[in-house]
Amino acid sequence: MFGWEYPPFNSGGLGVACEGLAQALADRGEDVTFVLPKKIPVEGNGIKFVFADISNNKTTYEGSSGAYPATFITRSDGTRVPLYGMGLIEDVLAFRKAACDLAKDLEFDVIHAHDWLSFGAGISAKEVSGKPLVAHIHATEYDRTGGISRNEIVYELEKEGFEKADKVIAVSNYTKQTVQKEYGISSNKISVVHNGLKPNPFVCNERLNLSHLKNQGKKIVLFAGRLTLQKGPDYFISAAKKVLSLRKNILFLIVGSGDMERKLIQEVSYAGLSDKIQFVGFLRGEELKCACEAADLYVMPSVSEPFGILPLELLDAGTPVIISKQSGVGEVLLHALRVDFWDVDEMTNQIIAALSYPSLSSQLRDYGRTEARAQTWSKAAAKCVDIYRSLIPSFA
Amino acid sequence: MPAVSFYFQVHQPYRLKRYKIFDVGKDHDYFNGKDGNLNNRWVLEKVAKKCYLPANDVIYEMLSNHPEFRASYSFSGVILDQFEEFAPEVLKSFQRLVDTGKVEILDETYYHSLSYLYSKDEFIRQVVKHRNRVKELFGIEPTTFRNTELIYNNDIAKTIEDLGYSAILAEGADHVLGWRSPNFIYKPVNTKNIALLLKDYKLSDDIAFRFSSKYWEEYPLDAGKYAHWISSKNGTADIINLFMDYETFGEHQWEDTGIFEFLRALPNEILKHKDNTFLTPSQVAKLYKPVGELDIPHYMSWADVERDLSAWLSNPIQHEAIGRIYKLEKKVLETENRHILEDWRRLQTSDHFYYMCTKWFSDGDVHKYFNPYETPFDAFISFMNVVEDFELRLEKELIRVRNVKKEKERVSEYVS
Repeated sequence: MFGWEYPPFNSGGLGVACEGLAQALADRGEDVTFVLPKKIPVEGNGIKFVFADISNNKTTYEGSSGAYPATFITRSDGTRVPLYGMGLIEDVLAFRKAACDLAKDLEFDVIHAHDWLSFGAGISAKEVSGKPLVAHIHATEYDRTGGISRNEIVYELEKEGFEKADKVIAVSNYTKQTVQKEYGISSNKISVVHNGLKPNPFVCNERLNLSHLKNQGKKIVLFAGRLTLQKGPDYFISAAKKVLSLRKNILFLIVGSGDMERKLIQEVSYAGLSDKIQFVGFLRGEELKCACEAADLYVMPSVSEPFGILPLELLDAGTPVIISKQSGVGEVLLHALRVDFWDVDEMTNQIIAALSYPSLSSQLRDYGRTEARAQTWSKAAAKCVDIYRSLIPSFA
Repeated sequence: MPAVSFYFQVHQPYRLKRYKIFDVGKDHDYFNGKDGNLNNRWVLEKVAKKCYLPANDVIYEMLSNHPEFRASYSFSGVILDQFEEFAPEVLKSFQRLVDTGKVEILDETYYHSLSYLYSKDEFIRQVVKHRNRVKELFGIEPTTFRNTELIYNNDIAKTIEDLGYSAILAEGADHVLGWRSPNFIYKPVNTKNIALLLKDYKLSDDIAFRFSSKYWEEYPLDAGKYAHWISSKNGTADIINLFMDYETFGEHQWEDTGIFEFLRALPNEILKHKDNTFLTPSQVAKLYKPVGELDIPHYMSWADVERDLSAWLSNPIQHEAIGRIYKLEKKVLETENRHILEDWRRLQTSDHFYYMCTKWFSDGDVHKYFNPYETPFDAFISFMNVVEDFELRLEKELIRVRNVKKEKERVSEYVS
C-alpha cells in the first residue's frame, strides 16, 4: 500500500483514511506493507512500514494548516510556495522512482495506492512486479479546484493512475461519477468503498469544553475544515450573517486555516460580527474533539466533497450535522440535513430549525450517531479484500 | 353467499409549500405552493385527469349495466373543498354517481386529521362539519363512519355509536383478529348496535398494491381469476370488504396496467356466481348479525405493514409537530376567526405528519413515493416555520379579540 501521509503526521482526511483502512486490513489478518515517501515515526498494529526515504529536503509539509492538500506549503527556507509548485511534484516523482527499487525487494500480491501523490509509485511497482494495481481516489483535482484552473500535471497523474490501474476505488458514488465524467474511466472499472469512522473514545475535559459559552445559553454552530474554496467557508459565513439577523445568542466558530482566511476575517470584521463569528485557527486532536463536542450543530458546506469524514466524527461526538448535497458522505447518512452549498437561504433555514426544535436536533443526533457508528473501517476493508480477490483468484 | 362491499377513499391534503424562516411574519398563504408536487391545484388536476374522472366514468358504466352493483365513497372535507376550488367538474361527476341511489357516502373527519388522538371535542366538531358538508353537496346523511386511515379502537367505536352511526369501518389486521375472519361483521365491546366492518386486506391489497407487480406470482390478475377467489369464499364468508384508496385506479395503478378494464369486467365476473352480490356498508350493517364481539383496546390503522400509528407518530419530529398544533386549540377557538380556525385545522391533516416519517430509512419506500418533500426533515422544517407564523397571527388576533370584548363590556356597562 502506497500512501503519502499517516497520522499523526497528516494534514487532512487522506492520512486518516489510509490509517483506518490499513489498520482494518491488518486486523483481518492481511499482511499490509505501508510505504511512505519519507521516514516518520509512525506505528500500526501488525502493519509493516517502509520508507522510500526520498532525499529531498527542500520542502517540509507542515503538520498544521498549510500542509497538503492546502494550497500553500512552507519550504525549509521559510518561504511559502504554491502547493503544486516544483517541490511537491519533485517529491511525487522521486517517490515514483524510489518505488521501483522497493518493489523488487518487497513481497506482495496486490498494490494499493492512495491518490495522485502515490499513484506514480503504484504504477512503478506494477511495472516492476506485474502485480495488479488498485488506485484508490480520495479527492480529485476537480474537487480541489471546483473545476476551475485545474493543475494539468496533477490531472494527468490522476488520469494515468486510473488508466493503468486494474481497478479504481472511489470513496463515494459522487466521486465515481467525477472519475467517469472528467477522466473518461468506464463505470465497471470503478468500485465504491465508503470510508469508515474510527471511534474516538476521548471525552472532553473541563479545560477545553467551552462551558463558559454554553453556560451563557449560547448555541454553537461549527465549521471545521480548510479555509479553501473546496470547503465553502464563505457560504458558511453568508449563512451565519443571515442567521444572526434573525436570531440572537448564537456563536459561529470557524476551525481551520487556509488561503481564504485573511479575506474571510476581513469580511466578518467589516460586518461588525467578529464577536459572533469567531475564527479559532487550526485545531487537531483533543482540542478539535472538544470543539466538536461543544457544538450544537456542525455545517459542512463543501463545494465538492468526495467523501467527508468530519460529519461522521461530529455525529460520533454527539453533534447533529448539515451537509452539502455535493458530498459523498450523504450516501451513508440519512439523518442529516442536506443543502446545496450555494443555497445560503436554505442553509439559514436549516440552521435555525436545527437550533430551534429539540425533536429535530435530538433525532438527527441520536439516529445519526447510530448511522455514523455503523460505518466501520472493517466494512470498508472487507470490500477491498473482495476487490483483491477479483483481481487475483489465488488471494487468500 | 359473499356480498362484496366496495369502499373507496378519496382524499388529497392541502400540502404546505416550502416555507422558509424568512417567510415567517410576512407570508400567511401556506398552501399556495407553485412548484410540482407542492402545487395543490396542479396535483388535483393531475389526479382528476388520471383517476377521478375516468374512474367515475367506469363506475357509472358499471352502475348502469349491472343493477346489482353498489359502491361507497368517503371524501375528506379538504378534497371536497379542493374540488370546488380547482375542479368543479369532478364534484359533478361524483354527484352523478350518488344520484343513482346505489352509492353510499361515508362520514369522516373533515380535515382527515388525527384529532381523535389529541382532542375528542375537536374530533366531534370535525365529524359534524363533515356531515353537514356531505348533506349540502350530496343530499345524504351518512350512517357509516370511517376514521382517518382507518384508525380504530374500542373507544372510537363507542364515540361513533354515540354520534348516531350504525356502522364503522376498520382494518382486518391479523394481529387483532387472530384466528377470526374479516368476512363477517362484529360488535365492538361496550357498544349496543353499531356494526364493525373489517377490511379483507388480502383481497383489497391484491388490487391496490399487487395488481401490476410483475414479481407477484398471480400476475397478471384478471377479473375472472379475482371473481373466482371471491366465489371460493362461498359458505365461509358473509361479506368481503374491499377497502382501498380511489387513487388506486389510474394513479397508483396506471391506466396502461389494465386496471380500468379489470374494474369494468369485475361485476359481470362476480355476478356469474349466483350467490354473489354487492352491498354498501350500511346495507351490510342492516342485513347481517354480528358473529361476535371484538375487543380492540389499542389503536390500529390500515397503514403500512405495521397497521398501527407509526406512519404518523413514530419519531420525535412527528410528535413535536403535532403536539404543538393541538396545544393551540383553546386560543384558536377563542378568536372565533374563520381564517385562523381554517388554517389551524388544515395543519391537522394527517399527511403533514406522514411526510415526516423516517421509517422508510430502514425498510419501506412507500413513504418516499408519496412524499412531495425531498426529505422528512424538509417537511418538518416547512411545517414548523408555518406554525411559527401561525402563532404570531394567533397572538395578534387574540389581543385584538380580547380588546374588542373589553370595549363591548365597557360600552354595555355605560349604557346600563
